[in-house]
Amino acid sequence: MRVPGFRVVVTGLGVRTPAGAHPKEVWNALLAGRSTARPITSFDTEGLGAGFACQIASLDMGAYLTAKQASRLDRMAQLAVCAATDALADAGALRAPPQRRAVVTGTCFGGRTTDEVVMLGGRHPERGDPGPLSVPMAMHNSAAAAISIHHRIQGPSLSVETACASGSHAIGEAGRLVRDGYADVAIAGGAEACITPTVLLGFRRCQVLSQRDDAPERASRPFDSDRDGFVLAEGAAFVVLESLEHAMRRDAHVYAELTGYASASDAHHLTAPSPQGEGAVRCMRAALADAGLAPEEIAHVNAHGTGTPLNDVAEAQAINEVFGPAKVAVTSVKGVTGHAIAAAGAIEAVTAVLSLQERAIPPTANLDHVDPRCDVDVVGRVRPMTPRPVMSNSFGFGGHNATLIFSPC
Amino acid sequence: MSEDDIETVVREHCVRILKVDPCRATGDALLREDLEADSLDLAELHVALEDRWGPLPRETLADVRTVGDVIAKARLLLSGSV
Repeated sequence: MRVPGFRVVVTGLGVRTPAGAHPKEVWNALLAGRSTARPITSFDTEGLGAGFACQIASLDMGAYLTAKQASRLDRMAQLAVCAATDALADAGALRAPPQRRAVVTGTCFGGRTTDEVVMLGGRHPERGDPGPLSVPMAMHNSAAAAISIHHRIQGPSLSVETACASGSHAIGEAGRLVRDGYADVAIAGGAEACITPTVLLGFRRCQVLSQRDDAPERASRPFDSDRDGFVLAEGAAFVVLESLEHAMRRDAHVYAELTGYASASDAHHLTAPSPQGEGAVRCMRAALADAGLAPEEIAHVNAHGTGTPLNDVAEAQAINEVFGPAKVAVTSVKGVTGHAIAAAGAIEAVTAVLSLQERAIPPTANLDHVDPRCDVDVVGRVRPMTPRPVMSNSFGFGGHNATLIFSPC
Repeated sequence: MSEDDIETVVREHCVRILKVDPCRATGDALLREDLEADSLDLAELHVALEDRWGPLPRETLADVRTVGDVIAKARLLLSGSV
């Protein structure tokens, strides 16, 4: 990050995704290019118009929380606590006092399962049946609160809400807290658990979901000519960010440096990207400037790449505008992970960091024929990569754009 | 409802809400100190009792200290003498 301040490094990774509960597991799933989309069995999807999603099969909280603690958290916050706790364990013992630690989380739907049970259940359809725990479990900051409480984080604890860009914004804003000296360590990421009947139906009626019910595992196909929308997913991912000084003092393993972050808005439309991805162009350029990098120094772009017709075209146009026609490798992990909404940017930040470690670009699953309107160099098979900076994009409904750049350290 | 039934209902709610082994929810078990109940737990218990027996005064559980206190309070309320 170019603004004078502390250098910010990544020292811990944690994930809970349909593709795995450990970064290595997720990485191997990405290399295999196997989609995690499956028919939904957790509720009746009759009449919802889409019957599949990328779900986490089993979630055992036993190693993280007591039964009572877990029962006071919505699934969203449970996923967040698992991933954040794993990231902190991966980072090792911190030296910073609790007041110098921060947590920034991103979520879009908050405690949605709790919300639906409360609103749709009970014998009073006009007011639902909220218990005393309904508010603290449904509130969107519940993940930040839980992580703060369980890990004694007494500095800033915040929740960022920018729809599908929330996870990236959370990491970027946490990076700024460390860079600007407000915290020595920040745990940051996103969490989402929104595979519910109302969210599925709402997205379907927005006409953004794939309806490939006959072949769910082929449904999430970013940049492919035959894509017809995204596949809803759930999950959480967190990174531990700290000042380079703090990391060196405690001899921590450093995965990467967060060298660039930018946040920019389309100011255009509630759901559609601005023409030619103009907002995304400004965001990527601002992140490059923040990192002090030229476009040609970027090894690859970990795209937002949702698989909706609109996003992928606009993002490809924006990437070409910034990097030149087909000048940079582009990949989207959503072919495997699906679209975990607010968690997506955090999951992708972790995969971007892993690509630096593993020196490879993971492929875009289900890519049979690149859409000619997406005239970028989409990576269809795993590709070796020299350790150079990696850019990760996230764009949210409302025109919220976030770009992160991770560099070898 | 018999006095034994009231006791059974209260104990079941305590066990479910506080996530404790049934054998710990004895009459003299201290809700906060022994069973780690907090204000949210007592609010949940209040709602559970209302679901069973109808609206209760807000301060119903304000001064209970033990499981036995809750049982006694429920008996008192159901006897109509409060």
